[in-house]
Amino acid sequence: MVAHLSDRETSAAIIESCRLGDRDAFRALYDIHKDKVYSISLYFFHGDQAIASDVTQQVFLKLMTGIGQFRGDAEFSTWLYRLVVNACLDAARRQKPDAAISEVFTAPASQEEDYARREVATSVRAGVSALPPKFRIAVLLRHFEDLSYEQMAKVLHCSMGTVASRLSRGHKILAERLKGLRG
Amino acid sequence: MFSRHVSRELAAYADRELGNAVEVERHIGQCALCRAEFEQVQFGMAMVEHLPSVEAPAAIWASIEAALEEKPREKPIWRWAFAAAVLLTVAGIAYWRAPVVQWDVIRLDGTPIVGAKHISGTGKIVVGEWIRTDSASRAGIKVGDIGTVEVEPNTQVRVMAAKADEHRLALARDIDPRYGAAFDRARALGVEAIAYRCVISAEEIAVAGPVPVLG
Repeated sequence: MVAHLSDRETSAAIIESCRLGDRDAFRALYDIHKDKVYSISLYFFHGDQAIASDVTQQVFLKLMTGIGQFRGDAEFSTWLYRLVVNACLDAARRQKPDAAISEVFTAPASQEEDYARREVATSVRAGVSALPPKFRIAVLLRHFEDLSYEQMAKVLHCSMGTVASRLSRGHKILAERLKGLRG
Repeated sequence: MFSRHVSRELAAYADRELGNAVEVERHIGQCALCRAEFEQVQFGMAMVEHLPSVEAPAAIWASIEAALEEKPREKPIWRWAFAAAVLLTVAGIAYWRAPVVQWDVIRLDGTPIVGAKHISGTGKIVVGEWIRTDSASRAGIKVGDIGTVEVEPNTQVRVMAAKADEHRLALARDIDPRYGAAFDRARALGVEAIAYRCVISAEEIAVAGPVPVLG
């Protein structure tokens, strides 16, 4: 039956099962979203796998314990990524000032990437890591999750205009830092 | 017609999230400054496309399960290399009260979990805490001056303490009341609790005589 449902319907069914305490459903929900949550956390924390893992764990534990609040799939992404943003910003506040960028980043680049592309990826990671936290989280949210500006505004607790502004400024700063890569 | 620059709206324009896109487009066409900034925003967005998604380590799910459940996973896989005789894990046997002893834990591969925390470099483990590794992680435990114990992948190890002069066993119910309650239920159902004194040296653990299990 599940195979004939759309992705949205499948997600709604899984969420409903999670609300009823179905652990397998929670695992399925985790599997759907884990990589994006982890990736956002990893790049937000300059490649620190331990912090990213802790943040990811925190997010899904809060999700599991609070999923009874949901009324439908339409709100789910917003709520999930609000947890992600809050966890990232809270952990960042508790941290010491940012350590050197990219020192702990174990590059996920595949062996097939040539040297030039690896260098670009490394530079981009460093550039993103150097963004102020509010711009960094907005840039990463936009890149990894298909949220509308309206949804991002709810996730980030700000107006759509502020979302647009943070993304504009964030990408502009990034472009300035990476201008050496322009062809 | 805009009389102001549109810097703050350029990302929304690029993402087609703008209600007044026609006006912004017209302005960009007429304003060299905003046009240059728009090209920067577009370039920045193109660069971010170089960030690949990273697969979450398997250990994260294990740590979530561990946090949700009251006891360790039902079917642990016990494999470790002994370099010292002070590490011991036996399901169903309570741990003694012990002075607070900490050992260094070194990450060898991946992100092993000590207690409830993933470690990326080094950590500390105390009596009663678990180390968990998944298929991609390994850890080393420096046991004082005795040596290092390597915790292999897919392993759970709990640090316990035993003293040769102990003559009775009682549960540390104040540390883990849920464990104490579960222990009582098990005994009520007929599970027998037995405890033995051990003589521990750097070369071996030798089982000595039985000691009573209290409370």
